[in-house]
Amino acid sequence: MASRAGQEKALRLLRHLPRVALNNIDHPNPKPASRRKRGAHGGDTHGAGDKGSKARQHFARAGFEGGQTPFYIRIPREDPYKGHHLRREYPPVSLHQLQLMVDTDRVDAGRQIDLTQICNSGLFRLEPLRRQFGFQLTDEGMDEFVTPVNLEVQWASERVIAAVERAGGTITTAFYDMASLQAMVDPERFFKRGVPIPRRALPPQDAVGYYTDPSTRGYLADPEQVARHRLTLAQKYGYELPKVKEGPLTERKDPRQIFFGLEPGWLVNLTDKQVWRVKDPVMSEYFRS
Amino acid sequence: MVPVGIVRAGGVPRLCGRALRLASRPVSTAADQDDQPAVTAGLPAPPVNTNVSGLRDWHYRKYHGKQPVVDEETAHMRSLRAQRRIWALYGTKTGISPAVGWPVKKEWEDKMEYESLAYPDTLQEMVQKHEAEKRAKEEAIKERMDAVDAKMENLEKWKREILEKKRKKERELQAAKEKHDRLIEEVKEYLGFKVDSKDPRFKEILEKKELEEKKRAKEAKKKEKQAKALAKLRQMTNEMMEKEMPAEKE
Repeated sequence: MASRAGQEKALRLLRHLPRVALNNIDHPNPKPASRRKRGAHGGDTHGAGDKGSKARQHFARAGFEGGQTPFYIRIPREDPYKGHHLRREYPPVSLHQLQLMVDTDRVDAGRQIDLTQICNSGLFRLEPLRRQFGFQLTDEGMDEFVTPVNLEVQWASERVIAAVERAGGTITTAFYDMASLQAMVDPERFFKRGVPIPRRALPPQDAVGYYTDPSTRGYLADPEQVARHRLTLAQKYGYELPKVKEGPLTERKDPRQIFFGLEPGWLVNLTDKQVWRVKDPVMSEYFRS
Repeated sequence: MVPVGIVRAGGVPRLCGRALRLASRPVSTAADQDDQPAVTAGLPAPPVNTNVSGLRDWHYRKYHGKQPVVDEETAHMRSLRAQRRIWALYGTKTGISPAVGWPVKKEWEDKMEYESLAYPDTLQEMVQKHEAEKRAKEEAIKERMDAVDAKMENLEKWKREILEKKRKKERELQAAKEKHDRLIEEVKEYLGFKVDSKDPRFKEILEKKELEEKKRAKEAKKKEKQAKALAKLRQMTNEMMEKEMPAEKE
């Protein structure tokens, strides 16, 4: 404890002393000033010792620890991209873009807007061979979406479903396998191949949960459950659920169907404008199941 | 408009290959016709070449929507795949039956085999599997949560136990230390100077002290016993006296 006189002396001193800085206080200095090894006492091997890889600038590879298992091998691998080349992709289409398409007549809102209609608009392109399994509907522009439409997409979040149903429309999430996708994306090109319309396959095991769930409006879900979920969603988001009349807004495809009005197994000829059906009982049974 | 076949090279118009051939064709003059009238009479007129575009035959046909010619050069067009495409592009006028579109036996068998391997389960089976997985996950979570809850109930108790253990250890250590110090002090008092605890003399002295203590304890016990015995005797005599006294009184 300093006495009053001592304190006063200290304060008087402070007035004349320089500002406190790193160069006038005691502090740890971890980096010693590097010194060049030159001259009489720093010469000869210049700090490299005798012989050895270091003196000869022939260093071992980066990360080498003299034989001890190096750090970059010791730490276990993490595979953030494992299986990325097998994962399904769903390129996005926003509700804003959809509204724009409907308003500018790029897409017909009087019929079901599905993958084919979106591709035919010319604004979106799907590449099934790049593991693109369809379109997902995003929520950008969901506040301004007002047209009642009959939509079929491959993935949609809860908010998007609510936005579409609030506008008075219906939405379904459906799965298409690779062969069906290639037919859907460019039907004209597909029909020019001269092969029958394929039978749509069921979704894979990891997608079955999504497409049988009424809360995601899966195409394999129970329609009664779907109706109930429509109601609960309206209550959740606080809008009045508009009545949807039976008609273009409620037309649905069969789970094995790709094109409206055409069944699997039928052969279409664009030149003759003819449609041929299969008579063979085995094939017919397969295509109709 | 420069007619086809004329190439401008260095300002001088020249005829290119085909035009050159056309230009150098022998042209029949009146004199030639007079020489050979009998040969050409009675024979049909030579066909008129309508293909002035000069396109190759396959190109011309494709451009005009005609079906391709299948010969040794285009033998690949005899395959099913090609036939299907020709039928699809040109229709029934090609004479190809629509039946080529559907799979043949081998293709059908391959297709069925593929489907049986790629899609082994029915929809119901897949849904059941999915639900079973979901349930298993939920159960695992629930189990873990229950286990944690059970442990949480005992948490305070275990905390206290651990603290107790720790404190007990500390106390014991402390007690041992104090005892040790006390012994040193006692020995020091006894001798008059400090002896190190590891010294052999320390032990001897301790033993001595212990013996002395025992003696004292024994003596103390003896004294106690004696005192007790005395007290008892006194009491007995008192009682006897009392008994006699009342008798005397009476």
